[in-house]
Amino acid sequence: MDRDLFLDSSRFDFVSTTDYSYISEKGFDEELIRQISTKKDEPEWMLRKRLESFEIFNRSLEPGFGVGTGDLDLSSIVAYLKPGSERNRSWEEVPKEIRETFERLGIPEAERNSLAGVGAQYDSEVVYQNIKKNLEELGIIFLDMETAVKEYPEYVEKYFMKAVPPSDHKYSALHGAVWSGGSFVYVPKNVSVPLPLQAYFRMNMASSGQFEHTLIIADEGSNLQFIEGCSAPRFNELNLHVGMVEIFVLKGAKVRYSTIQNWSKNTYNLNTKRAIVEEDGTMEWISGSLGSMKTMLYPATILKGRRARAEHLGITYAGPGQHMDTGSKVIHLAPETSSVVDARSISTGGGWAFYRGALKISRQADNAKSSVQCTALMMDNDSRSDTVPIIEVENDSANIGHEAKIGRISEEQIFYMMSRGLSEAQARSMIVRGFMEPVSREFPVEYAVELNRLIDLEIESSIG
Amino acid sequence: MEKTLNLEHNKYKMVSPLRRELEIPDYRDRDFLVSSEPLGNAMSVFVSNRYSEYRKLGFPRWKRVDISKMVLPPVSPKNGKHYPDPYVKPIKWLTSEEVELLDNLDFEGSDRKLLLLGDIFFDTGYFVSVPSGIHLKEPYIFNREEMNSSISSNLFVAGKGSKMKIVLNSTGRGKWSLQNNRFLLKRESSIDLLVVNGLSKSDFSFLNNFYLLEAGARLNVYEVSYGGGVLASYHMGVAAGEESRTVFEPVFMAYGDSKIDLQYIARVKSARSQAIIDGTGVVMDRGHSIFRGTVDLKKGSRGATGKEHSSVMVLSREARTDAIPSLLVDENEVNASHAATVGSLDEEKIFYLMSRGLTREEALKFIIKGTFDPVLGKVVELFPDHSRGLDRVFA
Repeated sequence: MDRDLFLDSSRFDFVSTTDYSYISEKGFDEELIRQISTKKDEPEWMLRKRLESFEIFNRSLEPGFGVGTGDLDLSSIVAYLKPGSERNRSWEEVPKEIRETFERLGIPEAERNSLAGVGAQYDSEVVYQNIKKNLEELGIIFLDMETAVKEYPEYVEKYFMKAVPPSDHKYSALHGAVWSGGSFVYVPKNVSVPLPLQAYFRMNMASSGQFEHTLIIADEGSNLQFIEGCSAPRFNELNLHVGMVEIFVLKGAKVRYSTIQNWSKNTYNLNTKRAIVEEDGTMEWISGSLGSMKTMLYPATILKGRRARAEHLGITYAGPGQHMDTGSKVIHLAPETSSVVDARSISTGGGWAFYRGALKISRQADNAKSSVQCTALMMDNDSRSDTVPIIEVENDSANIGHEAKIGRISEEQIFYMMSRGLSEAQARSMIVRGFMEPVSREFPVEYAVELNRLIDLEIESSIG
Repeated sequence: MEKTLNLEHNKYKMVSPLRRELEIPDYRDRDFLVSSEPLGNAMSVFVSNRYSEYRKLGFPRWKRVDISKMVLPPVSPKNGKHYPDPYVKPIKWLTSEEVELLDNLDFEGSDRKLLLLGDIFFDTGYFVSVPSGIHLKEPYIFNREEMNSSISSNLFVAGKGSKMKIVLNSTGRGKWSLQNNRFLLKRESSIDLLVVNGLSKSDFSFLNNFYLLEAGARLNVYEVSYGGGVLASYHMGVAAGEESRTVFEPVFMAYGDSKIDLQYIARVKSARSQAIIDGTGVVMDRGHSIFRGTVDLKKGSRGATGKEHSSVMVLSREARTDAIPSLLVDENEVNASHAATVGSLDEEKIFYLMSRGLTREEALKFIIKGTFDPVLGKVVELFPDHSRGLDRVFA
């Protein structure tokens, strides 16, 4: 049973020998931005956007909340690493060492079995992008961002960094300046994508940064499930991930965006995700935040159209040496909008799980409904767990409920399960699985299994 | 100094929000000289030390409450009026040991600048020290309107096993007022405190209260706030001794153009202590309430219970309410929870009451009264002579 429960971490923690065709100098300056743009052969308007963002970045202060970034030295980060491989549509064409990396992560197998398409990013560039032929014929576009910038400027120019402008915060400005890789998805009107699309992000070099941009447009009445996974081997130096996800859910469309974040424990994960939902649209964020050393991530939904809905389900794991500042943000701007937030966290081995939430009901949002629930499990007494939601209501017809509980696993529970023949570790992981179940069941089954395995592994190592 | 937030864990530290300052006319050295006349030696040193810190700070620019239009009142010399009670003396005559206690009960307050202002420029202040084992039936009344006090600073000590009641009433004080109150509850002592903040339009009112509880101490704070001005009220209770109990039960009603910003922090540092925050409020007209309730269970609070609850009803389209309930937990063997609800008027309830013969206005009053009754009922029972009229205000 132990073998089933506890996964070998070498599956994620390995470094591949890779040939890079270009590695930028450490740090960030205008010259670097121009080089990135030239290497990508970008149109002028995108270079302009990058330079504008960089100007904002230079004027920005650190956020006035969240994790301390004192030891993050941006001048030592390599912003752009181009692997020696072009984008490919078949795995065979991907260079052997990169292919092996993704094979060890199980990506090609998942594509064959349960996905409609896969994008795989290795450091700064997407090395593989493919969508099943029959879906392409339905008009679904699934491309790496660089290709989309060139082939679909009418979409990209209209939507790129419109949900999260560079002026949003310091790291969105940095992202706007040096973004590289990521996926572009367009689902045409009334098209339902039958299987999920997936993007996988891998960082393979110490002191590097990854800045991928994901842009999803779900046209009226469409339906999409998108899955994102990320990992990196552990280095002694700090790595930086400043990704961005922008989702536009048009009238009556539905998007479910699921993430399993498993960055190595030397990573600063300062990610921004935001969706704008039009009338009768639905946005669902399902997040498993397990990795990284420090994370700041608050998926946000702006409910712009009447009867728009948001669901945020998240599980955050803060193990030894981790400071996880996660949460959610929902802004109700229209009548009869509704939202549900269910945030769960586990802190163990001295980890710090901090839930930060924002819920705003604007003056126009008549009859809005929202329910926010936060639950935290503290596995031991060296860990810390905090919950700070901010609720702002400007309407006299809203119905808002918030609840939070922080607790531990009682010795009686463990004792009972051990009396039924389980080891202590098995008993603890079973309780943790039960605690996570309302969130983990929303992932596709393969990913739910993966999430459970990762948590088991973490708990096993933190119990020692 | 007891800081409002202390967000550190192992080697990690949370980023603190940047403190931004306002450019508004402040007291000068000449005002300080007028205000520190006459003072006992020990208090003179205390006030001078605080003044050097005060001068370095500007007034805060708050995100949720705008105080940029406030005008400080002219300073007055310290009032030494006798309070007819054997356990009370003016704070300006504190001995060095008593000043040391004042220093030990130092805290950040809603803002350090405002706290220091109260400590330095108070026009009225009393030291109330009830000896061990004394049970007082009649409450101490500090009615600031009657005392003609704009700025006050008080120190209360409940001796071992003693019991006392206190009423702090700022109603009708007008324009600009500030009070700092420090409370030391020694072992097994008990304090019931009623704070009444009745605001008029264009008032700026500030309150900073700090409570330190030793083992087995009991603290009940009822704060009743209503009216049309700006109120920033801050309460921090620290359970330093085992098996103590802190209860904050505020009720509030923001109407007109008022901004009522209430902050309650219940910090537990000791085993098996209880901390409860339970707030009820109504916002109407263009009123805006901010309710911040923080339960902070520190290392060593094994077996503690921390509960926070707030419930606010929004009665007009232009009203606004913010709820910021925080639960900070550093110890895993605790019982910690919070809940917040924001709702509107239940039209079905109104309809039902109207079907029983009430007018819409009567039905509305009935529902609001019902919301506040559980707390106001306790207030009337504990302070029968000083709660008259409150139920009228709240309906």
